[in-house]
Amino acid sequence: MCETVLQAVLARPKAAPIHVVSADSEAIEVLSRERLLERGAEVASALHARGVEPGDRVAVFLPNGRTFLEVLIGTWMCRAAIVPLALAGQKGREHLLRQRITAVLGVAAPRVIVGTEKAVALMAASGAAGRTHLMTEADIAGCRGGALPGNGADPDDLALIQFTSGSTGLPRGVPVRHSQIMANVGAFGRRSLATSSDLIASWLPLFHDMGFIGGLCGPLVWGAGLVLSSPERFMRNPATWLRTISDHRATLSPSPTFAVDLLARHVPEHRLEDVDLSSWRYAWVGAEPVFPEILESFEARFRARGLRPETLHPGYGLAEATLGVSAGPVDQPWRTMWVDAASLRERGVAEPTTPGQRGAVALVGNGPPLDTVELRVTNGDGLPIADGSVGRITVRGPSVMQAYFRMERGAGGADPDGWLDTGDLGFVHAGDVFVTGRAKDLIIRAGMNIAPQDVEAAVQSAPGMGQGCAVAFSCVRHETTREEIVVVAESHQTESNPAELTGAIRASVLADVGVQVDHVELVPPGTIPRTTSGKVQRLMSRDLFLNNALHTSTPQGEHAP
Amino acid sequence: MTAEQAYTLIQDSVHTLAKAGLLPATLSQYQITPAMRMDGLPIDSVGKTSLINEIESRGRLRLPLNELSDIETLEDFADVVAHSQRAE
Repeated sequence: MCETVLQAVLARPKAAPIHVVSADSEAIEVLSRERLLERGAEVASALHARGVEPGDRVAVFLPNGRTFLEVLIGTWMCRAAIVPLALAGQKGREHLLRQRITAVLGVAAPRVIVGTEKAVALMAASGAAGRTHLMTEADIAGCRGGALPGNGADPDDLALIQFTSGSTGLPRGVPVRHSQIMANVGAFGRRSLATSSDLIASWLPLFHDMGFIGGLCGPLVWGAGLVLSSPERFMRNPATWLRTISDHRATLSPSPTFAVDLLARHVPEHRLEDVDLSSWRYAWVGAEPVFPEILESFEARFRARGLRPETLHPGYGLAEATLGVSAGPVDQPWRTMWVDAASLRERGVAEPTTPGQRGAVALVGNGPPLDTVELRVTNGDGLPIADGSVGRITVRGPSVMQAYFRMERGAGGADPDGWLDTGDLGFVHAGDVFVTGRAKDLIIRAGMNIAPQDVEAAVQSAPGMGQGCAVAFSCVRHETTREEIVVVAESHQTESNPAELTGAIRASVLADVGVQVDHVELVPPGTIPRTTSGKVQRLMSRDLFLNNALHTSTPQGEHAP
Repeated sequence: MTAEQAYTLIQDSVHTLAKAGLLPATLSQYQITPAMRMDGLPIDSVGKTSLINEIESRGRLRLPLNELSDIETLEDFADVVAHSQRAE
């Protein structure tokens, strides 16, 4: 019985290999588990020589690929934890990048940082890494020596720290032990009936929980094959995702909702010639709100290409639960529930209705909780409420976080009984988990978590804007099947040249955070609701925006609640 | 395809995606000009991927996807679009 991912790899060195697809070309490198272990031992030796001891952390700024895998295995052989960080996806002016990196590294306190040449050069030049050892991909390639460990770490060792969003203020790292990964991967494996006969195709970034846990740890534990691609390849040509499934006869492949949508409605037919999806039996779709229209469009388009009706499975999860909380069983097609939107919004009750009724909205069920996860929906007092009533989704189980790394349990962690308030709102109906909204300050764009504070900081750096002048939030819109990003900014300039100002705000957010703003609202100073201590109230601002109750002077066309 | 047709195709694609909520709503009546820089469009990487796929679908074109990241201006982009292979 393996108790860690490394033990699972050590126990089956001849299990299915990993196919690594180049981000720059279509070249494929086949990496056997035996070779991965050998290389892991060599990297472990080099890490150890740089002072890495059990309990330490190794931070990586690396793209999906062979080097990442070698550093991961080497880190675990040292009984240290890996801290995958997103540098490639990070946008922003250098001083902001430095602030972000410094803040995250300040929390993670790694002994060694491994990165691309560019990342290491940036950290060396900025001083963000302090006295931490820096290693490049070339350094890793040059590692030699080292011996395989007797066993693969201890289940209680810290395996991973997942940073869920890149706030400059107070980055929060989710500490994940080996036992938590195994609990989550095991439960998901039972739900999806994953075995060593499966082959997983994943392009998801390894700094993201869905990519790291679902796309990498899963196949390593199950002894399944893996075709590891990259987000860069997917973004350049989304059709490569389905072509990979088709070419390798992949059986499992997870995806965020936006990717399903791109393939369902936008990728041209000629990019999909000869794609055959008949091997694909399970797709966990999540990481952001899932809309029935998107799933239906995808199924309708790809049915003729062999897609099975029971392949797509919307799921719910979060990094604080290691990854998965709920997902549908293999033999159960995903379910839609039609509810009355007004009852949901005003009374917090999922009142069933029928399609076509006035105010009817379709919600997607995310399947029942995984077998190691206890889930309950609670009211404002933390007490469980009846099925069909909307409340806060709370979870408990062996894969659920107790406290953020180096933070007190009370600061967003679980309660003394182990129940963690996810900050998500939803209800349970007929055993399925439905997510209806979010009570926490968080924006999700293309499956990535974004701290609204980062967006607000970017707005403040736009010309003419000042400290504390903006609030950022997102709205889930069933009409457009999107989670849209909204910025409300206070300015004296609302009368003079609003188009120029909103353009500057969009450009600043795009430059610093890397996301597009769907709506910019300019309002007079004093409009944004604040607490008595002066902090902006994001959820109240969102409600005002949705109810068209902000006093705006924005050009027509910007506001579209 | 002429450069004029390429501009129209790009602009129509931007408008369609903006109306569908994939690009900021403010772009639904956006006028592009040759001098505009690609990074001057207020759209992120997902938006750009959506736009490229929309242009390919709408124009039945096969754009050279590996070369698009180096393009700096709308004029250069329109030139690439105008000279792209027709999809069968």
